[in-house]
Amino acid sequence: MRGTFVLAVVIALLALLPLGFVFWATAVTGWETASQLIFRPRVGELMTNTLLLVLFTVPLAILLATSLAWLTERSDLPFARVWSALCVAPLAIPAFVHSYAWIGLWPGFHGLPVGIAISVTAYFPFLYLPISAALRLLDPALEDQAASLGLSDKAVFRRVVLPQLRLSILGGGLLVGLHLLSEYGLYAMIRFDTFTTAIVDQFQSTYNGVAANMLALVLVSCCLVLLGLDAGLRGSRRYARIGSGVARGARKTSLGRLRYVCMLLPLAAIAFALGIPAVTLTHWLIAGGSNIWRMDEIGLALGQTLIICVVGGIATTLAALPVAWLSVRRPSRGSRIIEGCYYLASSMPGVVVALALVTITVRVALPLYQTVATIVLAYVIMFLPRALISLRSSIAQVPAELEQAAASLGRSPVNALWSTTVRLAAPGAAAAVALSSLGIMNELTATQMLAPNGTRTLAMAFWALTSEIDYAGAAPYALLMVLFSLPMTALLHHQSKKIAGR
Amino acid sequence: MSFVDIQALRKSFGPVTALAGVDLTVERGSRTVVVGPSGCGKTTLLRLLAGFEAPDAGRIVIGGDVMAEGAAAMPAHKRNIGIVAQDGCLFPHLTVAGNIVFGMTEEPSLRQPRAEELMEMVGLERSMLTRRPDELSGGQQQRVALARALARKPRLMLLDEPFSALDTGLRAATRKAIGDVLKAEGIATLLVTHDQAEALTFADQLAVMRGGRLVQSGRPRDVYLRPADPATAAFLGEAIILSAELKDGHAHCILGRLPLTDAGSLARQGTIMVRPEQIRCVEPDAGAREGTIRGRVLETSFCGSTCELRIVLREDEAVVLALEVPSSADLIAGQQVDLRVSGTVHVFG
Repeated sequence: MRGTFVLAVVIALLALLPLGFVFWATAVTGWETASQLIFRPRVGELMTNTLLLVLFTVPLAILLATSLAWLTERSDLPFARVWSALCVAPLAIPAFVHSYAWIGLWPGFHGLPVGIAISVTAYFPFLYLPISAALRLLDPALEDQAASLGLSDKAVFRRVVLPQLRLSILGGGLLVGLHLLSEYGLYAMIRFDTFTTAIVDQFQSTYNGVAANMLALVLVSCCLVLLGLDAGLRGSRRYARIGSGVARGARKTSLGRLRYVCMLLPLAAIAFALGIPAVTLTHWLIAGGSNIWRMDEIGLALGQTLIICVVGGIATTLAALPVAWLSVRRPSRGSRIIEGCYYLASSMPGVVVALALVTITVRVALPLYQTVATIVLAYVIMFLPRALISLRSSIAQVPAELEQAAASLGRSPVNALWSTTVRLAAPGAAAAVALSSLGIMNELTATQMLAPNGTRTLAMAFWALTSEIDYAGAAPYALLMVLFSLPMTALLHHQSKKIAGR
Repeated sequence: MSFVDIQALRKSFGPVTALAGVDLTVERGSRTVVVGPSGCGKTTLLRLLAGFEAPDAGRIVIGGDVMAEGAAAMPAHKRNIGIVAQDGCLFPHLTVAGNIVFGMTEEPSLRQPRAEELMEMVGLERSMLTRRPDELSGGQQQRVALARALARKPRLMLLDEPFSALDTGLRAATRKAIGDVLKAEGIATLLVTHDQAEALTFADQLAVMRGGRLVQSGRPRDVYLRPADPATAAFLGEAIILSAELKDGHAHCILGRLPLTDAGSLARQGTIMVRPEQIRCVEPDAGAREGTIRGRVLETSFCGSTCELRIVLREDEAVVLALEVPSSADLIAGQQVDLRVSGTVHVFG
């Protein structure tokens, strides 16, 4: 128990390294240099870009996702289940593949409006998933009650349904916001400058440590503002359903003659989020013919990617295990704080994590520079919460009494844990490995900056080829990434339905 | 014409018939209780009245306004019918005050004073207005739910098993408090429950449902003493059902010659009901008169103020009666007792 706690604390400290590094770097730089590097027109420009991107994309994505969720969950939209699955499917496509697809169709596209459009299509599923799950879980008795108090259907939605979706909207909105701040490939491809693209450029061109570090400071501040906003708006209240009893199925609103007109919305969303990537990929795959299938290179990249995904996924899951166990079996203030550290650390953009680990390894532990160990640590920091969520829910399903029974039959604590809880939570652990592996497979920024020399993952190869404007050559890599992500996306969709008891 | 008039109401969910033609009337300002085992259709009846569901056929008229006729139903939000659900169903995202003013149509400045008035009416502290629903006990949640429904001055109040989630002691107190408020406001009330004791206590009019049909309705005392059939009799309380020969206004059965409640019956044979509380156990009398019913105590179980006995009749060992007697009687297993039946017995038509 004590050992587990210490282990969890050590992992938390490791996870907080990048955040600590940014503040340490600022302190070392000194206020004068720092302010010179921070308060300059270039940073103002990046700030404007980033702010506008977030301010437009997040509300638009919320609007789109809420409308789609309502249509698929609460109306008699034709083929609602199909639309629901299709609205989650874009998650299988890495963000930079989305912009690759758009550029393939419209080569001249660049700038803020395009950035917003691609971001909304690439990220709305992050909002659709929790909002539709929440709509399924809402107690319809509350809506009946509101109707009996004289509210029309529209008023019921505004005054009863929407307030209860707040947590899902905030959670999904935060996730989208953090993605916007940390995404590199999507915006680099359409030549739209954000803090992340600027830091990567800085790092690649001059390895100008101080300037990049100061940009990272501003980026981290943006992330912290987002996290603070979310915490402030969220409040400490949870809207638990009060009382007991089995809720009856939700009432579906009849769209009447508008049924088929309303189908235009999911149709348009899917056309952009799935149709455009499908068209572009098919186009390049056909245009490229068999020449683009250079099996030796593709095979090598695939092999390396799978190895790094499995190693990273297992490491992330193992790192999540101590705190997952603590938070279920021995929840305390301490375990909650540790958990909070993981979430905070993982909301740091990949570029900041990579920058920190590069600088730290170069300065303090040179033998670790550009090794598998360092890049795996980066993945652990970035994807630990994904593993944590799966692990925790599956551990929570194993009754603690089983562990106690094993102990009373003479097993040592570790042995008891292993032979009961770990065994029974194995499916959850597998899901944890799968979810973090998926993240790793599609990760580009940190992988580029940290990967050992000679490494070429699918994402890296894809990126290198598109940088050479070899769009056809990049297509097989994009296809492979999508194909590998599909089962994982299906799993997510399935889980969100299972939560709602279906 | 009655205040609420329900005619031939039918509703099916797929292959399941929830209501197979129900007729019921409710008088202005009265309390009607619909009672029945779970799955009998009583909740469906309530949801049709509230307007959450449209009937397949039939008619609902309230205060002269047609609420539903066939599948054409007025939507719930236009009916002005209050409902207090089983778990209170308070909005978790609003405070107590937010819940109470939720449906008010008064201008905003009048709402807070009205909410305070309502809190007082349902017997809650004004200071609770700023609390969240999850900070209230079950009974308090029910009272807030009542205040919220009363705020709109509904013409009919529906209570959907609102006391069943409460502890036994709290249940009676909350039931009385809510009943008193509704009586004072003169609002017609329809309570749905599966608890027969609650139904008998609360009702001016009792309606018994079974299998989607209304089996019987009337004053609680009448329904209890003159149930329509043995199943209704057993549902409302312990009942001893016996076959008897009917002659000159009396039933001749294993419990002797007993006067009939309604002597008009012409049948020679019939099924009768005796409530256990009509039977008294006494020490055997040495000089036993002719026709004394004698039994033997099989089993006793002590329940505090009363004792539950199982008594087998001497004349027919197959007949076992379950009786409750004051525990002061102090009877033991194996003891011989004499049984005296008082009052009249009911013959099932």
